[in-house]
Amino acid sequence: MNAPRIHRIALTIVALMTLGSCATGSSLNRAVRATVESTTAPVTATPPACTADQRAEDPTRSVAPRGDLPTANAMPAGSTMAAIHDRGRLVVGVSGDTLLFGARNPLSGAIEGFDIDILKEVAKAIFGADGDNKIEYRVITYAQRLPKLETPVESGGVDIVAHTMTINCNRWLRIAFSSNYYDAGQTVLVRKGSGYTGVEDLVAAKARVCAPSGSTNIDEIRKPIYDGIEVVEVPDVSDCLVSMQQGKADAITGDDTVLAGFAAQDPTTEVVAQKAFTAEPYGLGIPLQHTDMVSFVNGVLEKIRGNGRWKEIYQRWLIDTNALPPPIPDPPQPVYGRDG
Amino acid sequence: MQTQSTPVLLRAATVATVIVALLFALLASMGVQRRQRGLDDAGDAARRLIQVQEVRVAIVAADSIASTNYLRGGLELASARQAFDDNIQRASAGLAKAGEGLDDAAARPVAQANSDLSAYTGLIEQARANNRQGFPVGAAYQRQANALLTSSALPALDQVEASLRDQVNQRMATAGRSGVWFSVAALVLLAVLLGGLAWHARRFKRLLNIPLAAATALVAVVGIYGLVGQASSISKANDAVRGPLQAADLAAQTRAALFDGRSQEALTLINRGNGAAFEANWQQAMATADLAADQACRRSPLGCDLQGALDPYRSAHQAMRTLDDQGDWDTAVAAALGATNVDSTKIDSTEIVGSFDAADQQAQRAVESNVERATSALSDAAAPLGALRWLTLVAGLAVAVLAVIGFGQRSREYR
Repeated sequence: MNAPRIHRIALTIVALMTLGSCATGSSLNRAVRATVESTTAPVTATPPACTADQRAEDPTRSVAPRGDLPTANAMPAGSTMAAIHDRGRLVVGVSGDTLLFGARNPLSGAIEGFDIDILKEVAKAIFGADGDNKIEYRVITYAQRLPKLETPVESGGVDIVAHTMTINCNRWLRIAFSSNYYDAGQTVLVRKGSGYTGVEDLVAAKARVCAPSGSTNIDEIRKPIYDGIEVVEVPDVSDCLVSMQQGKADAITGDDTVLAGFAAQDPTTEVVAQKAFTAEPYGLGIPLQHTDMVSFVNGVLEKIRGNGRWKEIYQRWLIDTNALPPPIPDPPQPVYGRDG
Repeated sequence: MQTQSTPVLLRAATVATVIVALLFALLASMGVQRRQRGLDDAGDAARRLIQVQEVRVAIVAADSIASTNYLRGGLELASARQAFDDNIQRASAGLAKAGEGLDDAAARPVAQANSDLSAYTGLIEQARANNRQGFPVGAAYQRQANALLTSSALPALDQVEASLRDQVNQRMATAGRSGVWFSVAALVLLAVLLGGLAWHARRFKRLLNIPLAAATALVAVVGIYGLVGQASSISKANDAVRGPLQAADLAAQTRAALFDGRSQEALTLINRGNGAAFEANWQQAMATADLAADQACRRSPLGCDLQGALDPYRSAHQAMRTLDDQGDWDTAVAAALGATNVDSTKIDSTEIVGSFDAADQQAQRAVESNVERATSALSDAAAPLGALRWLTLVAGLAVAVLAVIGFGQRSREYR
């Protein structure tokens, strides 16, 4: 065997072996995750606030009804109500979990409560006797109440909101309100036997108090007079009951109406006997530019105040459920004077 | 001078060749063994990965059952409750298994998922108890339970899965790198033998020393056979990882995303009429399912039926959403639950449940068939390496013996 031949063979083998030895491993890829463009609107910056002059006026002033209420199925041409009638359904924003005012009945699936019955009256005034079947319910959170009224129905907004919503000056800058249809007040829910008899005890104890974002209740409890309280902020008011049941909050602050619904869901809790520390006049929310709708809804409220229907609704949701002791109070009186 | 030093040189050549041959036997067989172990370990990590994905599927399946069942109010189905319990049990058993033999850092996300799972079942119990009594706070518990999975338990499983994928990749890389031992050892031995042959030919003017030539041929044959055999093993293993294993991984991701979608679907209805956020989650889940199914099909033909199976569910879901968006919540719920007492002019109410189950079964089949193919391909790939290891060892010893004989023929001439 001569040397050049040996060299050739050797080189070939070297080449082969070098190739064979540097096999690269293939590897598993990372988990996939598709990216979907978000369709949620960005959060608005600082909400507008009323000037001192604006605040001096009674916030419950609404737009007076114009003459007689139009007959059902005969809405004035070109009005907001006519557009709703043409669409065939009234799109409403309600609470799905505020027992007694707006809550889904898990057995029937229906949303029911004081707020819902008021909305049914509005729907009947537009569509006639079967109007309560022409309501499209959109369950919304506290924080969504104003944004949903600032969004057109076609884009996911609503025609009207009935969601234990307090009428106040700052909100009037963004939406319109009907006249006051229920007088509520802010108070606190505590554990039975906790010894707390009012909000002052909670301040003294530096207790953790839960309230939902975007509510007047959370604004109130953050005022300097309640300094010491640790505010637990949650997205929805029902999350407050969860927090309290999980021991993450010592108390919940909210409207007496809402808290009565909580006490009904959790027998270990009670609303303190102390009188409510704020007045929370409830109004139906309506888009700011729909003043014709505001005066129409005020006409409907006038009607049910006068014909006893308001008291029937009160009886059904607040007396029959033992949430509040009788007697049935008189309905709150409307205040008008705002430009239509 | 020359005659005096030749026996010394011969002895030196014998000793050197024997040492190199023994080193070859040792190092080359060690390299092959490392390769084999690398492939076996990659197979183990792959099996664990699939197990953890089964845990994920069991958890999201349980959640989809719980949220769908929530829609029935107090009248939840006993069979659904049983299916929920079975899935939770499967998930916790799977987590216990996944945690075995892990070091502290690796075990942390497993422990996290485990504690989340028990918190989750607590929240679901609360949701159920409240729902049965007609208390709306149940929906808040249901939302929080789902949020706990999405924000904590599933990300923990993501970590576990990611580290197992890394493990598969590292073991494959180890298997790939270990080939160098065999090649270097074989090359050095071959060089020594060829050098010996050349020196022998020059010094003794004989054409060929038969034993030495035989040894050289043996090393060349074993070297080439070993390289070809190993290359084929590695390439089979690479194909298994790139093909069916990756496809099984992706099909399991599709299945988990499908169940996630089904949960979000129920939440769009529980949060009646205001499902926007949950509908966005549904779309996210389905887009992920699509992407994973599409990639699974590219990796293995065993995953290709899956893509088509997603479409019927997607259109059934959209038909249901349209009904809810138009205000017909009751019919939408009936369709989501697969109720039969529904006005068939509005919607085919059996469509969602039927098409979802079909898609789920298709996904499960895609996972199982691909896992089977991948694990059997990985063990097929590793199997011939055992024989090669012994062959290498024997060849090294044989070369040593042949060198002693070959150089010994010349040494005898000097006695």
